[in-house]
Amino acid sequence: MTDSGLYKKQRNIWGWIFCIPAAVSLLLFVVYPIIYSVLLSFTDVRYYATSLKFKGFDNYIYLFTNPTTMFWPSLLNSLKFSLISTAIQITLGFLIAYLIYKMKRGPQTLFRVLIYIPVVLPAPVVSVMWKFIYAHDNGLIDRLLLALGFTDIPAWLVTPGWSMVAVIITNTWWFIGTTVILYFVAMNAVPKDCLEGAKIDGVNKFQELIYFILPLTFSMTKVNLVMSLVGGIKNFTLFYLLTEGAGNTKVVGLIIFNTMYKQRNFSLSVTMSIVLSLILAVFVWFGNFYLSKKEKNDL
Amino acid sequence: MKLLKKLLSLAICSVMAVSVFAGCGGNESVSDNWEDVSNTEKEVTLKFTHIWSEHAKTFTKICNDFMAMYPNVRVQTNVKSYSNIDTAITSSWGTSQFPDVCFYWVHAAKTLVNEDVTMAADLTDIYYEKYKENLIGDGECMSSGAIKGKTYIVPFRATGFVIYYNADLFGELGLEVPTTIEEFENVMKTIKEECEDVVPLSCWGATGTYSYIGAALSNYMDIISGKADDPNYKTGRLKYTDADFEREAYVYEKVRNWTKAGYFGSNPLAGSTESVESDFINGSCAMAMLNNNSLAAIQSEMDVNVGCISIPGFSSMENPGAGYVSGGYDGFFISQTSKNKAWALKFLEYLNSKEVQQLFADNEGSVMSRKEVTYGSALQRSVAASMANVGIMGTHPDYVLSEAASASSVALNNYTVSKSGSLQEAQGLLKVLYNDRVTSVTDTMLNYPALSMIDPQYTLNQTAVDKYIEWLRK
Repeated sequence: MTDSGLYKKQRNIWGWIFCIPAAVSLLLFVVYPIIYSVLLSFTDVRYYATSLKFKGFDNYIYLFTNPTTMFWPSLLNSLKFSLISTAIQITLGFLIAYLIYKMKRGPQTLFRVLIYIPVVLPAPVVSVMWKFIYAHDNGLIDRLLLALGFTDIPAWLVTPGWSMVAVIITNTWWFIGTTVILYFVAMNAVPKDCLEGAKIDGVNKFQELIYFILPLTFSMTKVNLVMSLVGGIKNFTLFYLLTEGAGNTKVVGLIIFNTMYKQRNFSLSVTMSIVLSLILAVFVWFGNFYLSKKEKNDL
Repeated sequence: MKLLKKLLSLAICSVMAVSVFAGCGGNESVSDNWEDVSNTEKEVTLKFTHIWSEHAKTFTKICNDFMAMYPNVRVQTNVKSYSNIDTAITSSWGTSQFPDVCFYWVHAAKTLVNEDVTMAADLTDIYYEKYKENLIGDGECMSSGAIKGKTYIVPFRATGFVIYYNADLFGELGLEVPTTIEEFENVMKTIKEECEDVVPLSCWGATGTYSYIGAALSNYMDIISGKADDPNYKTGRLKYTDADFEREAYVYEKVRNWTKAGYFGSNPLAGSTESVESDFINGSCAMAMLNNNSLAAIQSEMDVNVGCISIPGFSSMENPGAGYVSGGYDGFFISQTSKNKAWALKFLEYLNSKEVQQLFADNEGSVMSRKEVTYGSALQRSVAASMANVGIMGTHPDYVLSEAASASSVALNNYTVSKSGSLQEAQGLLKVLYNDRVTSVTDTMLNYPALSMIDPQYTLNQTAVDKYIEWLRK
């Protein structure tokens, strides 16, 4: 007869022991850097922590009161980019997913693969490709417009206004595949009998889309919305590689990068990162709360 | 058996977790061990970083020759890219990966030197004082990067933006090589009128070569007005008055008018070095503002005669033909934390030896920092002559600018491509830029300890300024 209490205790002990290596890695590479970063934000560190001087909340006060850092205007740029990009991606992603959902199996598989190809491309490849497309006078777009008789063509990547549009288009092209696949999965999860019942009741395709598919895939809209908004605000790579902040595309990621690597102000860049993380955390929490409430009310 | 299996699994997990630390290096503390190099038995590895993958072959030969001379030394070369050298230096600082000898720009030394932490070793006594007579300008090319009288970076070769011109096209149009800015303007006007599809001067970017045109004309204003004679001029911290803004505004209006006339192409803010090079090589432009180190690429690809000038000065200046070249010197510094400082110095001396400098000039078409280097082709000699004043004109700010100041600078260049504008608008933008600069100077987050703006001491040469403004207004 086994002593189940002792056996469970032994199993528990071994479970905890096996957790130790993973826990140590997590502590050292996730928890420790976060705590260390928070501590550094209260110090005055330039290149590296060879000498730490405690400064209290000076870095935070500086960030909130000094406009020369360009942190808040750049956050606004990031927000603008994120909102517009998300709106386009969610709408377009949903419609493309619906079109693919309505296709026969063969074309469905083909288009699912094609739409996802850009997502797997690395950022440098995407930026080189689109730089060629946007190149002034010699790029694909300019050649096309010149052939159609247009003459006053802006420099897409450096003209204020147009540069943000250029990055939004590139970002949408790059990541729409993810949105489409997520929506496609959600559409396939909609109960078939529900849709058949609606069909029998005389619902047309448009009504089926608006009154059945859309609300029943709302949880995926929530996921896409939060992922896209947060990803958009944090976005750095595309701006760094495509425009380098030219036009009006100085986003918060670029400002943090420049503060760290150009001005070599380590503690201030860490402070900016922490403030940004807190803003995003509040944003995500609020977004989830509001959308979950809406989902419950709709159900 | 079960216990053995569990212990074995635990051991494997632990090894996997510990192996995650494999890439971590130790912290390096600041050391000052300039030991003697006479001990040639001691095995030494020198970590050497530069940014020129295009010159890899020549650097390999240089390093191999050095290693042949000193068999106990192994030079480990690491090539970074131009755009990420700052990131590479900052992220490796404080680790064992930081190079012993590293590339950096002489004129940007202030970003390596801080009140608390200095990445680069002080080379004033051990290099500058010993070898300055060998260098261009009797060492001025090195002292231009001095911080509080100390020098940190040894110049290796000149890097600046010259104007390459299509000499055959000039001949066809009967154009003389301009020696004053007035002649330069006439050359651009003639090319625009005579050759519809040829851009007179190709340049690019709000922070690129397009911005150097305004900088050159602004510099000439400083020289003509007498401001450049002020003892504190080079610091870039002289206080401005309203009269200064008025004078500068004429400069940027001139650039705007030139841009409107199409002298720089349809949108000079766009483009890149590569597109300007390509335009020059395929004949789309008559002149191109490019880095002097593009010489090798141009020489190999072009089948027309090419000449080289700098942006010439105003006729009333002492030597207008000498002109303005934005730039300075590419150089190398020794890490403050290097454990092989003496061997690093030996390697640095070798890089700046007559033999290595001549080899680099011959193989790569570069203009070097050493005086005795000779240049093979007429074009290379012309480039070297144009580069004689590189980084000498203008200010060498001893402070770091804020992001807001950088944005204001871009806004000013964006203004110069606008179709509509006014002197008042230009003045307004200059005032914003100046205020951002003042804020940067006094900001201890950016410049520690904080600096201050300085009252000017120069005497204004109003007659000369009026003559210059008269031309700017044309």
